[in-house]
Amino acid sequence: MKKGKKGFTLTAQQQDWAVGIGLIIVSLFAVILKIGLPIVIEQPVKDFYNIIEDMPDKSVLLWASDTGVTGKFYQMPTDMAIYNHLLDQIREHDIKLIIVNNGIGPLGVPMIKYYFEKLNWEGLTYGEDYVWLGWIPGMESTLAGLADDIWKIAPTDFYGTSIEEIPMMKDIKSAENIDYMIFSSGTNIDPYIRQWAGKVDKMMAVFGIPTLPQAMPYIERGMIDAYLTPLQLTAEYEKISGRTGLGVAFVDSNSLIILYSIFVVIVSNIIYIVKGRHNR
Amino acid sequence: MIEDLLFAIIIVVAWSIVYKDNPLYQALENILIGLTLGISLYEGLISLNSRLFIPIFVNGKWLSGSTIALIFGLLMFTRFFSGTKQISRLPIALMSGVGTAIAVKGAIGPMIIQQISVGRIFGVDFWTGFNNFLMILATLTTMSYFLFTFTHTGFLKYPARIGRFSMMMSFAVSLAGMVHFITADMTGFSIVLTTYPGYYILALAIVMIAASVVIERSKN
Repeated sequence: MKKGKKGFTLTAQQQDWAVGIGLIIVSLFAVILKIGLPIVIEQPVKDFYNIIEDMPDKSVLLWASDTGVTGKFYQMPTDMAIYNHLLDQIREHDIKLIIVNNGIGPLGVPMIKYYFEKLNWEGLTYGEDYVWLGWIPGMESTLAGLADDIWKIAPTDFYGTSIEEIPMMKDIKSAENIDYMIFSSGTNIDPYIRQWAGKVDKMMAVFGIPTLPQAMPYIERGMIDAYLTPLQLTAEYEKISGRTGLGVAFVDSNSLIILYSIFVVIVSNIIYIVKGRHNR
Repeated sequence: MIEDLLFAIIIVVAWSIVYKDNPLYQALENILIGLTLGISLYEGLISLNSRLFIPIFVNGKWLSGSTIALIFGLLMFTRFFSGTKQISRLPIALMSGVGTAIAVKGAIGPMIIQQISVGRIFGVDFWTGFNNFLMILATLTTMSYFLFTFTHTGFLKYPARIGRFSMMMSFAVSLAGMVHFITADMTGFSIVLTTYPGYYILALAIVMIAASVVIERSKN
């Protein structure tokens, strides 16, 4: 900081430091304060909830995910909110769940292991109610292969058990035997639409907020029947399914952090304009 | 508890870059890269085991796609030898060709034919019609922006400008989404630092930074 003719001036590095420290302080206080902003449930959340809630008995659901641990705090609350609701439905309506990681890298595997560890799978039997086919590299090729012949693309599950020995997979061979699909994408949703649109009764999507503009054409054309995004919609989903968790916890603090970001942008632009006029 | 403590330490060390570059942060950067590669290698080997080794060598499925995948996978390693590196182009060509074919096959319906259909502007509720009108306008004007064969003057001047504005708005929405992504992580990490045992690490970090500021000022 230098003392000039009219007060102190900050170097560029000090300005970055100040903004960064301010962001950290705001985020810490935002978490402590717990404002409790009202959560209004929007139509996309109701659509998603109703599809899962109204699944007929013995439906088959495929959940394909290309997200990984790098988006842990972003996508994980959404996944966990859906899993909590879904596991109840599996117990009540004998729904079969197939989980597969199809990302470019295997960083989605620790996430599934985390869900197996933290969620309540009581009353469900692996191999009869749900199966995890593990990480099948190939992204779009994997999705095409799953639609065409699951047994060929996934000869074993994650644990090395032959697919022929898994009871629930006996009659599930391709997209024709799958009723619902959920896909979690942290990258590009186009492969899911290209390979699975129109092949299942209902297709549900979970993706990040930056992906929403890309997804809107598919949502409007009915290729995606329901979608969820992290933060706001996840908080609403937790509220509608009666299990509040990280989603609700995040929404308040996120709102404060966003406000701080807007404040910084406005203040820096004002300073820039004022300095410009002063220099002239 | 050890896991939560380590997590808090990692968060604080990562955030220390905001104050200034330091050896702990540099070490963490290298650890992160190493861990990511390590996890990828570990999970990759597990995947190879369940998808190749077990079907072929344990279950005896020699005449299957797994064998072909194994052969082509091994061919990739020929890149490391100058006499045989041309052979590694075979699996690369196969992957590129198959990938493109699969993408194109699925693209025609959802991405071309379905997208050409436009919703109605009249005969629907106001906002739906308005949205459909905006979509048509943005699509046509953005396409006109990319007509570089003609200069953007005369009849192209205003459509190209509107197209550019449409793209800017779209990019702004994407940027706002990225900000959301970052703030979600900030919130998650803040939760870790404000719950037990994270707040001890946070307090220690604040003391260390304060001490560092005082020492630097006394030097100056």
